Amino acid sequence: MSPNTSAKSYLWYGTGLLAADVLLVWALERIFAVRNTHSVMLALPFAFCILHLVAIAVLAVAMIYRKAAREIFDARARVLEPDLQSRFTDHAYGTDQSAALKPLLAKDALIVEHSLVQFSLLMKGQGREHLCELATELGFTAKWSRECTSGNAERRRAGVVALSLMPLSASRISLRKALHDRDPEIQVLAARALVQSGDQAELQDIFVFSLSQTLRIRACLTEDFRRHATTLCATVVPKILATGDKKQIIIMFEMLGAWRRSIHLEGWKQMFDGSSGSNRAVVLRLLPYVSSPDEAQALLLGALSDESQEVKITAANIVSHWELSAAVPALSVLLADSRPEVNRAAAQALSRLGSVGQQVLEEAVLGHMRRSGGAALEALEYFNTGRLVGTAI
Amino acid sequence: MMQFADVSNIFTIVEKWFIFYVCVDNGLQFMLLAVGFFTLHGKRGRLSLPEIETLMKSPLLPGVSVLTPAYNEELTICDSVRSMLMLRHPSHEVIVINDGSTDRTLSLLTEEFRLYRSSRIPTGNLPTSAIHGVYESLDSIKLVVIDKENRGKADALNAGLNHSRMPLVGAVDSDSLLERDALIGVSTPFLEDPDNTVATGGIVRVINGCTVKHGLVQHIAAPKSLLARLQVVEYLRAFLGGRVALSSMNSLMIISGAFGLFKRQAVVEAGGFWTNTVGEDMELVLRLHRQKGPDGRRRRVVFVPEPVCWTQVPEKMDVLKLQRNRWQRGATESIFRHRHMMGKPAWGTLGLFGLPYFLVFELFAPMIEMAGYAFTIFGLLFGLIVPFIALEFFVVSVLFSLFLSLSAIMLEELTTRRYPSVKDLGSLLVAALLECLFYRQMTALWRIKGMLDFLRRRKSWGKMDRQSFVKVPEAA
Repeated sequence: MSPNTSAKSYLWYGTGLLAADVLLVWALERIFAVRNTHSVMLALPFAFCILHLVAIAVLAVAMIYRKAAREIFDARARVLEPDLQSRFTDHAYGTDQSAALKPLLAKDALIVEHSLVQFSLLMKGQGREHLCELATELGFTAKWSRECTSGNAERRRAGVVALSLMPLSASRISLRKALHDRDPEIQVLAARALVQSGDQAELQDIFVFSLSQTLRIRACLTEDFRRHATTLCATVVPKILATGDKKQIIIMFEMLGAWRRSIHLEGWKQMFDGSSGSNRAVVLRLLPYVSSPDEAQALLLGALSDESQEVKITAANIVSHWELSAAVPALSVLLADSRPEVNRAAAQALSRLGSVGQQVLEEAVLGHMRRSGGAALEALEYFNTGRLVGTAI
Repeated sequence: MMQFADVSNIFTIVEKWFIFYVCVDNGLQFMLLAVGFFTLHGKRGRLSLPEIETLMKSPLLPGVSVLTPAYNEELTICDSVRSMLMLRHPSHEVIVINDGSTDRTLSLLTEEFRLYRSSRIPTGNLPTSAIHGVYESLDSIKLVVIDKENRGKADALNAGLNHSRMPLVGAVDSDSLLERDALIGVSTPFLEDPDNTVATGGIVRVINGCTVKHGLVQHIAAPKSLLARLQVVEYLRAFLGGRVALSSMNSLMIISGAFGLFKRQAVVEAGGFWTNTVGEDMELVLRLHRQKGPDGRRRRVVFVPEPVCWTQVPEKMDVLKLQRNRWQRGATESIFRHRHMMGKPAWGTLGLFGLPYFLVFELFAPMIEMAGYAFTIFGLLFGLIVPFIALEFFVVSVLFSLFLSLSAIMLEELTTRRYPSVKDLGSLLVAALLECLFYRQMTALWRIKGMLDFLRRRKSWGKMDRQSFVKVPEAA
């Protein structure tokens, strides 16, 4: 369900509730108020009062009951927690505790379940496996799988978190379904669980899946994919490049660039030609990770005179990163650019290109050039104080 | 000549119209609250800790410049800046704009954060009053302080925009504290729909009564002052009900000036903050609504219910009066300036529902409601209306309103659960009762005065009374 669809349905639910309120007032007036007040005029306010006073009382009692129930639950959990944790520890180290835990399920199943999930999160290896078996034996695994299809997002979330601790054989179906949940957080949880399972096929599938998702999901998964960079670049990345789907490839390049690590990638250069300015900038951002300064110098110097502002700024940033002194003449031209972002990027790059670059900046300062002089002074100051404030744009 | 019976008939008909108006107003609020409930139900709103940890490492997250205008904020400025510097975000800078303070705001900042006069240049060219100097910290913190001539909050924000270098800019009041994850939380709509989202806002909560340590809210409690507690109920009703629902319909008109995040490019293209108003936040949001996205669709303005901004609310009547007067003037100015959007299908639900709703049930509500009270009392005194009709009016306006306030507190309890103790909940329930009995009517009178001041073209901000945050002793 898209956000728009849900908004529309929520609007209908809200209207329905209002209609129900009006209908109830009307029904109370007809059935109850008219008879008891013996006055048509008094009946409506009387019915209105009765209904809303009851509603207010119910709301107030429900709130206080809920709050108090939560406090009682928390207090009970605090009492049980130490005993449960020692039993889980024993179980993790091989002493079967299921028989001792089963009687607790009748009264405190929620506490046992919650505690088991929290404890399993801290365990790894064989200990975690034993706890997973315990969860299955206590009937929690089946419950979590059911929860993954619940209408309540909070329950689905809890189900996915718990299932992500289980072996893939027990959780795969539910987690794959959760990938298409309408709640992005649940999607992320399910995708991460599948990636972290270590299954190669799942890893590649989730990588492809992530390319069609929102930036929020991509940003989260990019960090998980980082440790599988070599595998992904050898398997699924070339396949996606071969499809020629520009939109997908650019999104993929953004993710690869965000890994900030050297990768082996063929065919990236083709994407630079014939793309829009912002796409060329994305490709360029990948340059430090897929190429050496010698190989990329010509491309980079060309990019400094590109028509796109974004490409120029990206190129200037890479030049400063690689300290390419051959770029000083091109950067000197950019320093006089009318766009403040461009001459600022050029000044920042020049400040890192040794004495030649800094000399250009000093000349700009002494020449009292309004725009470039200011950018040059700022760059020199930042370089001398060794700080970089707010460089991203 | 008109007979008594005729006058009485006219009074009865008018009184019934008042009842109808109050019923529709409260009914619509009930509906918005219900939409808010369904939207929030089951959604955590807050990002999970693992997700925040992951996003903290991600270079894909757009950077944020947090703009904080400050005018005579010596009591809170250092705590606020510290709180903003501690926000969890992979790439954010804090820009404090000292708007010609006459107290020690600038000197305190200089001492506390070791500021030096920097050569940082502006990257934007929105018109602002004279800049005296730009300062940065000698320590490795991303703090910029702009010292400028006093010309109001909007002008200060424009100066901040000119010096900001990130794709997103946040506007945060300097007497407010943000929760550590608030910036990442309020950025999420920009990650979900980067092309169309232009502004997002978080929930503003009342800090009075809470304790603060190292710029972070340490213990949450309901305020001791009754006036502040009444405002807690009012804020809950406004944020969890109205704003959640209006946001889901893309009809949100207010991103609170205390905490909002904007796409820098969109704000600059729109001409920055309008300086000739006291309601610059609402006016900007309405202007941003007029922009179209790359796909020709309307831009999105989103309310995010969980990232919390803690703000001080007035505990003195005269200060609250000034604040409400200013809010009413600001809202009226904004609606008046963008009146041509009203009722136009081109602006979707905003034009067809949001703006007309705001005009009739927000802007004119105090006038109509107070006229209703005056009319009813006058009618009763002179026997022009029967007591049953008067009773009907009071029941509908007070009881329904109480029901709505309690529903808002219930919604808070069901979704975000910020007030931990039963005692706090009890005190809020009592406040909800009092809110409907006298607070609402009192603020309505102030808002009417605000409307009159708008007609008299008054533009003053009014002197706000600031208090330092209640701090946890260091030993605690």
